[in-house]
Amino acid sequence: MNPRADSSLLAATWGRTQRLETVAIVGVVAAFGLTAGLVGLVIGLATAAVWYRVGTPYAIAVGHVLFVGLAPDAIGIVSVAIIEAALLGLLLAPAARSRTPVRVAVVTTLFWLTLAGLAWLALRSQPLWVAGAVSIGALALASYALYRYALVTFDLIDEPETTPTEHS
Amino acid sequence: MRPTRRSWAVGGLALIVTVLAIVFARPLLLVATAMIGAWILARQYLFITTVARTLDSLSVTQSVPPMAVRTDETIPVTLAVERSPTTALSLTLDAGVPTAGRVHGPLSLSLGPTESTAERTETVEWPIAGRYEFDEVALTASDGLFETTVDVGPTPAVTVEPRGPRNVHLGEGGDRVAVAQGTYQVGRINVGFDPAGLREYVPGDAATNIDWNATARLATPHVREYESETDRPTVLVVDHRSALAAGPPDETKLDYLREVALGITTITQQLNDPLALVTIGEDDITNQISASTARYRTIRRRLLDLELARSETDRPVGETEAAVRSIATAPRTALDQLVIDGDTDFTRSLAPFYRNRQPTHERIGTEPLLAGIRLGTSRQRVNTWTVICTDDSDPTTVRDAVGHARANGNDVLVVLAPTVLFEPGGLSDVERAYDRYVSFEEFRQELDDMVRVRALEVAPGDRLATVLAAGSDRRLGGVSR
Repeated sequence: MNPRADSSLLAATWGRTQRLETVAIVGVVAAFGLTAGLVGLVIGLATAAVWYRVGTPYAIAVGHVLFVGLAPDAIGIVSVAIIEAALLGLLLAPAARSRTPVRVAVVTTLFWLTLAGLAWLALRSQPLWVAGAVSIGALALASYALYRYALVTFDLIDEPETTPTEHS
Repeated sequence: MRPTRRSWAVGGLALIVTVLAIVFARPLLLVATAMIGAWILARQYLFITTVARTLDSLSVTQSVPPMAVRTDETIPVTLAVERSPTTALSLTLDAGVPTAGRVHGPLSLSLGPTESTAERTETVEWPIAGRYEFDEVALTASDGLFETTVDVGPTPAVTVEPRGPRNVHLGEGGDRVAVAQGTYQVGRINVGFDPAGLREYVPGDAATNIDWNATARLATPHVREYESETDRPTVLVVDHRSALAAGPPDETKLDYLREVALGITTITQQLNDPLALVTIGEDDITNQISASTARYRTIRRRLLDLELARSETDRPVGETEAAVRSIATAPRTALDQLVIDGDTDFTRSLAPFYRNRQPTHERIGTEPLLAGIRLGTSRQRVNTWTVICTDDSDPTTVRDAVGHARANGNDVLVVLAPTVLFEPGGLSDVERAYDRYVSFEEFRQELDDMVRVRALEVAPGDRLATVLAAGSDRRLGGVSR
């Protein structure tokens, strides 16, 4: 399988085998087939094709949308748990190629749990659109926080110029 | 840190999934939003840690040769980068060449994900003198989703010196000396307040100058004389004939003599002495400014504008005219022509007559240096300080010029540029160069031994040191043997 930039991780092991990711996408196809039968298998294959062509985030989006749209009857606690576990595996699989796989996997999982948890908390007492706004807002805030962290790490913050009047 | 178009696309994907969740009332899609968001944040975090690790292991050099640079010269500037281990980051480096530097090609490097080293050298031209410090190298790291630019690497400095003489040595026999005039007394009588002495009254003396006490004491009329400190006129005679073209560009004999002449001008201005300027061209006097205390700036500008004079024979004149002129007014040229014609008995017999110097009063009309001395000193009072800036290519004329300049009790300073220290390749045989310098030194001492004459040499200090070191080695070798 050709390495794809969007599913690779920043590691010195660029080009190393993507066996774990292959296993993960096979697991996604199996999970969809297990929970939704033949339709699920079709959804799984479509998800795999999108993953192969354009990468993990698009596969996650297509998988969810097709599952919700084409197999609404199959949605249940167990089936949702199986599918989400398979897609989480697909999300975490590239971490195996990083220099610090455990740390990357833990950080990714924490980010996911935080964003999903905030959406769930919002959904418990607020309408769906508020939960959606909370999800996007939390993502934007977290991304901005990492941006500021990068400025500090790379020493890119300019010292503010002080004027004589500020000292007095 | 800036997101690329690809990360904006993934962010837009998360937004679309969220909108679909709201439109179709499917909360499950918010789980997809969270998962896509986690992917973005994880990649962002990973980018930051990877760039930080790369910067720790990165070696960026921005090197310039440790040599002096003159304006309009070029120097090679090398930009090199090495990283270990390799990462999936693509690196682009742009050298921090100062604005004053003109790079002949783009001085930047690109390091692919699998590459660990890269190097590039470009020449940079420096048209403006000054000291310039390089900026840090602008390193742009990208993984396709995010990119950031960080300044890294050393900041070397380049000092660009203006063209012209440097390390100007002015001295005697290799020793540096100062040329300051200082204060002085001259014999202008009866215009000051310091008593100079008594003398007997002679008809024509003013009655007010009679010292009646001395007259009563000595029984005959006596007058008391006074003297005062006064200005001493300085005549600057600067030779700029083609013989002074020897030397590298902007470091010719004339350039060094010009430095001395400018220094004399400054000293004279500080003492508020009248200063005159006479410049000597190939066949004639090219500038003549009479002594004044108000023309220092004009003289300085003339000195700065002074260029090497062209010979009359270089000018587009007919052959007949040139031949007539060479016989009539340029005996040395005529002698040279005789030598070129062949080493015949006639030439050998005639040459000594040409070499015998003509009486000075006759040569003044033909030698521009002598004519310049005469012109510069003729209108001056006694005790003029004449500064002659020339070289040693025509010792006879220099001797005549000095002799004429020191007439009437004038002081003379001769500043000579030794040809051996300016000729291209003159130091290739340093032993021979030393011998030639010794000959020059004998000539300089001969002038220096004249009454009221001081003779100095002006030359590049480093070249003079090389020649003197060769002489020192020779003497040590002789002692050891």
